[in-house]
Amino acid sequence: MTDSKRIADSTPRVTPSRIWMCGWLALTVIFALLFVSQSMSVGNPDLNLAMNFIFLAVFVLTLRFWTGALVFAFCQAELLFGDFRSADPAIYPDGWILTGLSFLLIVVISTFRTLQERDSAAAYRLLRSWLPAGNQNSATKEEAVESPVDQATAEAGRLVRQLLRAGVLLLACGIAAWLILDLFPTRRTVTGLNTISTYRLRPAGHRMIVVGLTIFTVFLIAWTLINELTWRRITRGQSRVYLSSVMLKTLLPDLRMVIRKRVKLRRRRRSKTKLATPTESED
Amino acid sequence: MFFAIREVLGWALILVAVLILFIGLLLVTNADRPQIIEGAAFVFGGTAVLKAGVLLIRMSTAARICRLDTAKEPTGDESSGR
Repeated sequence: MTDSKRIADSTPRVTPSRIWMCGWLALTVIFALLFVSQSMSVGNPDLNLAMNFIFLAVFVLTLRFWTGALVFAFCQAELLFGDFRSADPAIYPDGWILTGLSFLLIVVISTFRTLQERDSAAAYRLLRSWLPAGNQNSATKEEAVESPVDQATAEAGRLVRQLLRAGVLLLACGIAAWLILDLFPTRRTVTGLNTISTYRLRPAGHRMIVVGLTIFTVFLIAWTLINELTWRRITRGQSRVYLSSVMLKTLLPDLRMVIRKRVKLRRRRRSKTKLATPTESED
Repeated sequence: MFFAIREVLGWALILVAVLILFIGLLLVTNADRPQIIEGAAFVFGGTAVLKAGVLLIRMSTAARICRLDTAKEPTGDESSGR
């Protein structure tokens, strides 16, 4: 295998994941700035900044690893922005824009994992196939068999399918969040409860806790039932691994800690060598 | 037999957890006087009970699968002239 071919084989594995990672980080930073700027510019003394930051830390930053709770995040964002919209439309005319933008960003961030896992190199290959023929000297033999037009069409179709999937996810989550929020009254203070004097909470914070706990409970029960039903399909090897893991966890936690540290070190070494290989081949 | 007992106990724990979660939700969603702190405590307690139930069920299922396959193995060994 020549050096140029080795570079071509190794480049798509590394570059798209880095691009996705940078995009994800950039979106997270934008989302954080959005929250902070929105919180600062309104100048509401009752606004609890800590609540925003907790939301940001717990839900937004972990969304990449926690796609299942997307509806929950939708509702939280809606409730956080709910007060500004209902308070005074003249003062907060752009509330719905911020809410919509936040929803979109949450969805985009949450779908990144799916996109990254399923077909991370699709966009990169598509871009590469659109390049002039002179820049495609790194193409492999298998890719050279198909014509560039067919390849580009196939990649475009795959990308469109991914986008459609993301769109369906956005729509389904939006509808689910809207339905859930519709079950609860917009104003909890209608009942006469002064949430600020009783709990030191804004009405939006109170609603957030109520709706959050409800959704969390429903999500937990559904998740448990689905997991338990699928659990019965495991093979003998998987069940052995699980049993030994549980035994180690309960009886020998110190040993487990040592093993996990060693595994982490091994992974780091492997990733370092993988990253170092392309640069060596370039040299 | 022990697997079945463990599994039944696990499902019973899950039912208890659901009951605890339901009580917590009732406390929180009470329109006249919502008790948020008590409700949150119930929900987190229910989560712990749920996790214990899930662990019992999973362990019993995994052990049963291991046992089932192990029971099939000796017949092969005996036929090989052990």
